[in-house]
Amino acid sequence: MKKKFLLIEDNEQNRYLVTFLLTQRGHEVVPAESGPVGIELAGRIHPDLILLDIQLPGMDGYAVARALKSDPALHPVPIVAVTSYAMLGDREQALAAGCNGYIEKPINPRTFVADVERFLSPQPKEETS
Amino acid sequence: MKTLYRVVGANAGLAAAYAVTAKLGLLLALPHTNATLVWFPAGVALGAILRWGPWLWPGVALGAGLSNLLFLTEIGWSLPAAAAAAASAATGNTLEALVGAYLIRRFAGGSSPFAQGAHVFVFVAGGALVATALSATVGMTTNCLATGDWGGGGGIWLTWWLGDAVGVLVVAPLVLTWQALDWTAARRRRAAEMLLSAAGIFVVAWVVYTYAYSVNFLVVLLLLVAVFRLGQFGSAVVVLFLCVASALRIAQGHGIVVGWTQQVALLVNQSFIGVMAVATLLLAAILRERAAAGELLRASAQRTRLILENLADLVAVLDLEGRHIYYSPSYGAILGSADQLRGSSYFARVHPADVAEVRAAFAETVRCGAGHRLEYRLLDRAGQPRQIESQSSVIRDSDGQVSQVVVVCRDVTERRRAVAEVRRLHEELQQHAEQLERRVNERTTELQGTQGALMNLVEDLNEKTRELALAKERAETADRVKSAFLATMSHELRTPLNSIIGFTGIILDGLAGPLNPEQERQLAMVQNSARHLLALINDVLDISKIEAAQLKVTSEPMSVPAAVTNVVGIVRPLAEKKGLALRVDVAPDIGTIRSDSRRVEQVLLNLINNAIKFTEQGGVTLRVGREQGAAAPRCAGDVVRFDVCDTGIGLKPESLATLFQPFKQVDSGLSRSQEGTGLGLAICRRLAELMGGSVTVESEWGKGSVFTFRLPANGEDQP
Repeated sequence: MKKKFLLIEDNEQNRYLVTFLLTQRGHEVVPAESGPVGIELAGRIHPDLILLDIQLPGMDGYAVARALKSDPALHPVPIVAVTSYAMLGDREQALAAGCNGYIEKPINPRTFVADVERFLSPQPKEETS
Repeated sequence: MKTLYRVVGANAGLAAAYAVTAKLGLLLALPHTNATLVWFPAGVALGAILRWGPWLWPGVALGAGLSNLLFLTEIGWSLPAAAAAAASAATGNTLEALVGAYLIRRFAGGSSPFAQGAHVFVFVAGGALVATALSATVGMTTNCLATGDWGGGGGIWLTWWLGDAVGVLVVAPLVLTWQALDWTAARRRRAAEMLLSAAGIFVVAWVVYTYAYSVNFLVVLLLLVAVFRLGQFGSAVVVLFLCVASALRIAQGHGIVVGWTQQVALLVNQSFIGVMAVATLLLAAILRERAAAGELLRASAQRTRLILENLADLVAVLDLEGRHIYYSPSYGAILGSADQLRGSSYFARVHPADVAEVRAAFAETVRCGAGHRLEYRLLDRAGQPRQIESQSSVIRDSDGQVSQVVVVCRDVTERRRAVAEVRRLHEELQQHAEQLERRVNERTTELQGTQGALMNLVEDLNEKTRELALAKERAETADRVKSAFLATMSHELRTPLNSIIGFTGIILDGLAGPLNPEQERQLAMVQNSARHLLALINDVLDISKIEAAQLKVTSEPMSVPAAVTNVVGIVRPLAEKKGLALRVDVAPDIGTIRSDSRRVEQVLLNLINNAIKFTEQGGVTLRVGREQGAAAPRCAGDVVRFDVCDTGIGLKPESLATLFQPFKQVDSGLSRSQEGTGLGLAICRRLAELMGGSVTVESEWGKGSVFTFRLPANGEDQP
């Protein structure tokens, strides 16, 4: 089942890696290099899931998550934080900002796609309920 | 106040008394005249008016008028002539009494002229001689006018005058000295003696006048006895009886010296009686005066004695040589017994050091007659000095010469002592006060010093506090910087690793196209190194987080067998690769506990990895079981115990101490093929402790080691 992913990630190699893994499985990935660009794209393309790097230049991932969740049209779209942050409170902070999931970097290529796909399933239910 | 009744009654009484005494007197009168031998009523009138007051004059006038009227009509006068003569005589008698009383009151200072000799003279002169002359003149003139015979006028005047005078002298003292009788035994005795004396003189006078008139001076003796024995009233009574007896005898023709007429004898006798009366009165008055003076003196002496005896001050009377004539009891009590003092010298009692001064003052006192005030010491009977204040004064004899010296001494020893004591106490108090003040000052200074020190201390403390606050701030800043640094490092290191591991995995999985065996082998090495690097980064990150107290453990339900399975799944390939047996022995009752599964797995993974790493032969065993009570001190209640046993190289005792410290990888003595960060055990122990458990080790060099991980079955959330 082909899904549309919005990937907000400033590092080009990581962007390529994630895009490679997801497109290998037949998903569509729309990349965004920064928060504002990601927010603008999300409003336009209505992705099925947003992968969000936290450590972004300028507007950081927490602010981007809050901005995306504050848009009623985008609110149901799951956001999965992908971050190399592993300090105290990173996970909590990310969830508090509106993220639905949290995946630590470095990612494991063998499990990454499956991990991400887990966050897809409940969303339509939420929409209809 | 005198009531009218009383005035009338008294006047009537007096009139009656006048009349009765007049009748008695007329019995002694010369034949055919009203010139009597002794006119007693004159004394009654004067005595009454002098004693009770001039308001009695009507009584006198009435009594005199009636008496004369009765007498004159009796001797044959016509009533008008008798009445005129009686009125005239009564006037004279009344005037006589009033004038006499006035003169005596005026010149003898009162109604009782017998207290002093001088008053008796006034009585005799004014009452008995001058006033009676008035009456005699009036009487004589009346008589001569009535009879028309002026030839015998001189005789009549003299007889009248003397009769009245003797009447006053004999009777007035009776009236004036008479006192209401109280019949006490003593007075009864005196009354009896008085009557006896009166009877005695009556008898003696009767006998003398009858048989031996020339020795009539004998009665003087009796009068003297009466005066001395009986006093004024008694002697007056005796004189009365003498008077009566003698008059009776002469009136009856006795006691007349040859050649004398009866008239002359009468006059001579009147004179005699008058002189006797005056002498008696004088003597009695002087005696009474003396007695009163003596009484006064006695009372005064008694007062003086009482004062002296009760005086605390010492009083001594000294002669001019300084010898004791008299001394007060208090003086004797302090200075010595009577035997010691009598006739002894005052100066012997004076402290030797003061004698010269006292003697000089004494001599000065005697010479000038002026008192001295002096303070010196006397020696008491025990020889102890007594501080005294003395005041001397002099007694002069009747010539005005200094005859004695009176010394009054006040013992001021106690007072001086008290004053000295008070002064001493005062000084002591002052000293105390000064001391206190000094101490207060000292204490104040000290306190000020202390206060200063305290202020400095507080200042220092403030300084230190500021420094500490600053240090804390710096530390916190440093902490934040460190955290930020770690976060950044973590990100910056993982981002490239993300690429390396990610792409290596992708290529090794053949997602990017087929690989030949050599490529695959080398790429696996890259992947292995990348993973090791990641582990290293994770360990550094973990220990940093633990040390910064930033690592949190959760407390959620977890399955111990599942965790064990996970861990064993990871390490089994390593053990198999080294040809080691990996035995797992999980007790059946373990089940689910509350803890942090990820950290529990991390600890187990580390311990088992280590065991495999340092074991070349034999095997590694993981035993899991429950432990009751607390083998680890912090574990209350149930504990899950993991034992990781290996048959590896073991540990030397000296290695055990540093085993759990970060970056202190034990030198195994072998060339290790296994990489290690040196952080594993440190992280294990700290994680175990964070979860409320512990990691301990028992090891023998060359035999292998047992690492024991204890975990509370019901862990709490730990920061």
